[in-house]
Amino acid sequence: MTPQCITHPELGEQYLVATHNSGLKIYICEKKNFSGCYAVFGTKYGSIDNAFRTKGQAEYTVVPEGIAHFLEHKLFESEDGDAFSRYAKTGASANAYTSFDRTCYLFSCSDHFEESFEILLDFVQHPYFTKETVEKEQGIISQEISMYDDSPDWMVLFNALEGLYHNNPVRINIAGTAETIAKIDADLLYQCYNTFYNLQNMFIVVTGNVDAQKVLSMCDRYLLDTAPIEVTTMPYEEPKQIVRAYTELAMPVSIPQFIWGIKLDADGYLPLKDRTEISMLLSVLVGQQSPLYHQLLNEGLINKDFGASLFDGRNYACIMFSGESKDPQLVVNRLQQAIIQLQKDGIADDEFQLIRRQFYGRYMMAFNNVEGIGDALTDCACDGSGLFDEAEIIQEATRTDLEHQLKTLFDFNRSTLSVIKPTT
Amino acid sequence: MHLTTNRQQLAAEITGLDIRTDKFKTKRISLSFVLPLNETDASLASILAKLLSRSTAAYPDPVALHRKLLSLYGAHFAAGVIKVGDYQLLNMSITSLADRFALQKEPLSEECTEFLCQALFRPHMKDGSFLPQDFDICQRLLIESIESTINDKRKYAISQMYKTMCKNEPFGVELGGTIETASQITSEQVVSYWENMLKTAPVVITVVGEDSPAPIYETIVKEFENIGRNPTSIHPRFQFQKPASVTVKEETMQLAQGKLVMGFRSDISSTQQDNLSFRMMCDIFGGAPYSKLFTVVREKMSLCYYCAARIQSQKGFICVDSGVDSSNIDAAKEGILTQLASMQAGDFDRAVIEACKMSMADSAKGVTDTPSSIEAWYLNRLFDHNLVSPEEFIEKVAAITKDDLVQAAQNVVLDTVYVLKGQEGSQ
Repeated sequence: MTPQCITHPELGEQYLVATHNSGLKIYICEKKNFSGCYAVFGTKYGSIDNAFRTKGQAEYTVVPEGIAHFLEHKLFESEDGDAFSRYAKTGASANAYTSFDRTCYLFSCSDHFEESFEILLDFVQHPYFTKETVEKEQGIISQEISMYDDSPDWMVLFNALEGLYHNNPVRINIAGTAETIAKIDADLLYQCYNTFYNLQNMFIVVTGNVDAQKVLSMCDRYLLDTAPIEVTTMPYEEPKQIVRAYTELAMPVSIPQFIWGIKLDADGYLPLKDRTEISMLLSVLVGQQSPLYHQLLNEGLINKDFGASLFDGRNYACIMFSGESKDPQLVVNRLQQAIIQLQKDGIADDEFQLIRRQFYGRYMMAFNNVEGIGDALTDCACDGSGLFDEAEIIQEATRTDLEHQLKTLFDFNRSTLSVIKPTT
Repeated sequence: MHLTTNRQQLAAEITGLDIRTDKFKTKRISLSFVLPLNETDASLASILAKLLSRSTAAYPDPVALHRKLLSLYGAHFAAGVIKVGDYQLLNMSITSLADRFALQKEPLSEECTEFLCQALFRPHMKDGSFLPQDFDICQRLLIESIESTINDKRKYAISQMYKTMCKNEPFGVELGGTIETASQITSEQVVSYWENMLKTAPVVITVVGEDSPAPIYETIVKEFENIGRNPTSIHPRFQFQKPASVTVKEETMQLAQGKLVMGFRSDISSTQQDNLSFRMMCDIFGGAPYSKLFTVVREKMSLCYYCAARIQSQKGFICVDSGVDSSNIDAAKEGILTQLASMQAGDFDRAVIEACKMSMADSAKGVTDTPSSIEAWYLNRLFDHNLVSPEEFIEKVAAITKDDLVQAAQNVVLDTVYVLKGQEGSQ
């Protein structure tokens, strides 16, 4: 494989991108002055990929909710044992996660990188599912689901997603429910694995104190020669309008927790330019330097947990304002008023320049961290962006760009308020 | 440039910790004050941290203060309180881009040092008092923060266990104090607390960056000299308190999943080599995927999603916490105690000892990869007689034997069991 080297001289950073014969992309950022390394072997398969067919199949298969996450748990096991017992011999710290649009298997280590990398490449490519191991895992994952059921952060988010989306599978709980995971068996796991854990659909990211050529030659040696599989996800109609404007759930919390979500249109991933501009705009509106933030704080309507962010991925995007408040609806009313006022007044130039300076600084500071760079490259692998694209976007962003976003983003009729209120 | 660490005494009870490296894009400056811990002082320290980070004499309006931080390329500025054994540390820090990345070659390090000094030594006050609006807001935020501990059920359960187990020890005091103490303190008390802190508390000034911290040390030490300090010394001594019996506390709540938290005490004064055998024993018991709690209680018994053991090294505590169906709590407790007994009987092999050594060595090597992990390494060892670097730690880990680990396990006794069960019908 001949890697392409992408550099950013002002930042003093560079990384390599190579493409394996299978179509799998490999991203490597050497940071030789750090002690540790971070490696990710991921697939662009997550909880939203719940209905699909492969080329030649007439019908779509709809799989039980939570299966991508279940598969992630099971992949660590093999006929001889499990991957954790192998990592125990190398000292690496290993983990995995399933998100809406991806599943990633990863490790961090400061030594024995090659041994650990070999383990990663091996166990992810060699599934082993049996009736007995599936049944055993149901007990463990049921407890994980119960843990999430008790988490106000988790519940306020999924209630917001269910309020926003009719059919978009982002509304599906990543872990599923006790009822849905009871339907999972070894055959279904193999079917999902064989469909989505196809190297063309996967990626590798390695950052830190590594030798890029060594990483590439290990990939050449250990990546299997598999033919690409063409997968189509089942199309669905997602109306522009939301499902409902308000959802409330009582849980043992101290004060109400809320998310006010505003639905955006998304076909694939939002372009990085839009994502960056929206993030900058949200900083203008409710960043800690904003008068609005301190008005709400001074009036006792929010606390330090309050924030705004873009929640987005493959085929979904929404803006979320979240926090704790004794009166979430009043916070929403004030936010709406502030947005309307900002649309009238426009963004002051000195404000814009300050935000841009902040974004430049924060972007640079993120390169302090080997894992942070690895996670950023994982995003690049999924959405097709480049690691340094954001630097350029920040530099070239204009106040007009943000004001354009300001005028087009906020359709209050496409918003929902999700509240977790204290149990009485 | 390799990373070097140098600790020096700058003045009486003012220590400088210089972590010199060019691998980061940032410069981090922090001050940590060592303070006694009791409920009232916990509230005072937390409110003080909020007040000092809200506004300064130079930036009396929080909007202006945050705009200044944005102008410093989005520098991260924070003040907060952590626990180290029976003490609390009030920490104030600023992390900015390293000077070499400033677009107009601004002296960021100098500006950030000045900003930090403003926040600490010249907060926003009028006639020697914090402004009522500022105080009221910070008091409200603290009270809401204390009330919100119930939101995260795992953390809540652990906190309840420690409150029960350590009801007569400072460690049992929650950071921030109680709702009562937080509600009752006055602005005048916070001013006195602040003045006393500056004058008497031992301080550690930590700088992580590529340049000599001498100018930063000089600026800050001069501020302290202007105040005129009369510092106290803090040298805590470990004292083992063997529990007379096991305390059990149970609560119920509307929950899908129960929580079991078990607190153990260990006589670490008898442990050799800087408590390493205690740390390693706990790792094999329940700290890693190769541990007994993970492989047996979670994987084999299939009872829980998590069942983990964590140490509190200054106090010699082990906390085992587990999320488990309320109907299985007794089985989980039995499973955990069985695994501890097997540790005490030496029922663990060479392979798992080697796994633990490799894992600990690997983690220690990675400590120098972020500014915050380096700082945490040294602050958590604040009271250690011999300050051990990550490199020295790795050498000592390699020397630990199975006998050391068995002895460490045999020193462990159960003190408290806390159970949080779901109410009938909520599971």
